[in-house]
Amino acid sequence: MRDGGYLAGMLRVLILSELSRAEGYGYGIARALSERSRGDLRVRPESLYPVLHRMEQEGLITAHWEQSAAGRPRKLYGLTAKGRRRWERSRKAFIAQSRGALKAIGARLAPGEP
Amino acid sequence: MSARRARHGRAWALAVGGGEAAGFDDWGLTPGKVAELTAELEDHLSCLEGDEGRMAGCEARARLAKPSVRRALAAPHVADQVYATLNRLPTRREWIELATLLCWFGLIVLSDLGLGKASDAYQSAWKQLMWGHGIDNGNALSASAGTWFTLGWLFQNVARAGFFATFFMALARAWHTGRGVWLARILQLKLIHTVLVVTATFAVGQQILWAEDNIPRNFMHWPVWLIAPVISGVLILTAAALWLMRRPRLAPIALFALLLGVFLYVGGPGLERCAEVEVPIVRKTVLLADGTKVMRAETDPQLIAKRIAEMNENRPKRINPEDAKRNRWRISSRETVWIPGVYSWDWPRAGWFPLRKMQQAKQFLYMPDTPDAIRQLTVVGPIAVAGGGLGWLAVPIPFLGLIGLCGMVLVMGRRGFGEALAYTTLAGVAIVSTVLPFFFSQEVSKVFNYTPMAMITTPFPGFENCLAGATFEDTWMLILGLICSAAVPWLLTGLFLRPPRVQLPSDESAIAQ
Repeated sequence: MRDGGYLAGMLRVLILSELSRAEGYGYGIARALSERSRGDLRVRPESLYPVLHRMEQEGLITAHWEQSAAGRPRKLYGLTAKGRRRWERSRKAFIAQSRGALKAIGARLAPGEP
Repeated sequence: MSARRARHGRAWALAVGGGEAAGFDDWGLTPGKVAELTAELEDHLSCLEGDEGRMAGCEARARLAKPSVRRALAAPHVADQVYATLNRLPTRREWIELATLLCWFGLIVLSDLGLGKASDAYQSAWKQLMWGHGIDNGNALSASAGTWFTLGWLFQNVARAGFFATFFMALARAWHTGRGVWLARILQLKLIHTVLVVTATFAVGQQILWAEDNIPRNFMHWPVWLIAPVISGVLILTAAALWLMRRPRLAPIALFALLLGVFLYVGGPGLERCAEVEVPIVRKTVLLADGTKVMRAETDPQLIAKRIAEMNENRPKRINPEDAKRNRWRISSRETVWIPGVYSWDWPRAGWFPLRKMQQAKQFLYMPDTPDAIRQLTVVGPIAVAGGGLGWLAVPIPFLGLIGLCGMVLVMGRRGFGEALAYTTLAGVAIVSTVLPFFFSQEVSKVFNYTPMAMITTPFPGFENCLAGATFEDTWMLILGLICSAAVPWLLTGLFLRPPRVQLPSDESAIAQ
């Protein structure tokens, strides 16, 4: 698998995870992922928006436009029922695969981390 | 560029930062999609500047201005790109590409017309020399026709190489812009190409209709024989050097040099020698004093008559009673082997008869120790054929049709079973209409000419034959189908693919501003 494909696949799971908590807009999703990973994950717009748009086409997420506080148009994304089912299914698989991959390459999580 | 497009262009430049690289270019997206993406990115960058400062925002803008990043952003919208590219006005770059292609196209037609005139001159001179006078070595002809054929050879191949270099570069640029743009450009170029080639072949086809029998070939000594390999070698080495420099701006020149080298080499100095000789019909073997056997003409009239009578169906077709009585058979012939580097000139023993007739005529042909050449003609000039330019221009049509329509099926046929079935059916009809003129009334073995001659004439002789013989209703129907099939993608995108609705909260133009 190419690195790009792997990262895009991981980003889909992360986006599903973020949107399962609440609706969000592009920058908000990127910032939340960065904060939750304590700065380890920095999602660039050129990576984020193609994945968001693809997921929207696939019906995993839905989008609508709102006016932001600054007066700018803002596109808000939320999970569809299909997306929620996908998230529930892929969450466990993602965790199991990530654990397995970390073991395979000999990396260890910091103490206290799940 | 329309005002609407200009607004989106400014909006995009605003979103990703100034500079030439950030200016509006062809994304292949619908204006709505451009506006949506622009608004989304603008919001993202504004938030980023607010959180991390102006420097972070500038860095992000600079990164978004890179072509590779812009392609990544447009990548998910292949179907949108196809629709948008097929249903918009051409960009400035596409106009330039089209104008360049038209210039090369014009030069190809002119070179074909020039070669048609040269062919006529050659034919009349050849007939005059062969049938009008006595022995002539054809030097007068070689000076005039040779010059015209040399010019035609150069211009036709320069135009062909230029056309295909421009053509491939246009498709390469479209590929880099987006896969959907590439697909749509293939379909656009197919339509333009089909209309131009069909129109030109109808307009000038009768004047330039090629025939292999009218192709002059060269008879040259070895220094001249080296001309084509040397020129081609220099061009191909130049192409390789330019390619190794890895500068995108030099790529079209490298491609042009490579194509020109290949075209010039194949049509380069070859060989032609026309001769009319008399050979004995009935021979006898004579044993010379030194023990060697030679063939001589039979002199016994009764034996000659008996042998000729025995030949029955195997008698030479053009033999007449007078020739039979004289036991002499007059034959005119041409060399047919002409590729530089592989020719073996073996005249007057074996090989001066056309090779394709050699097997049939073998049993009659004698190897007289001294053939009586009564007329012979030598022509100097490269191998170039009137109609070879247009013949090659037709080559991309079936490939563009197959790639474009199959690609459309893959891109758009995923919307649902019913739509996919309807779309595939229409695309299938269009594909058949596209390739049918190339196969019509052709023997399967002759559909594709795989000999080196194809580089000079055309790999698909059936297409020109079809157009040149466009006097029957079925041929007209084929051509109509060919042109209609080129327009089918627009019909299909109109029926099956509509631009996505953009749900912007306010007026689109206000966002773009």
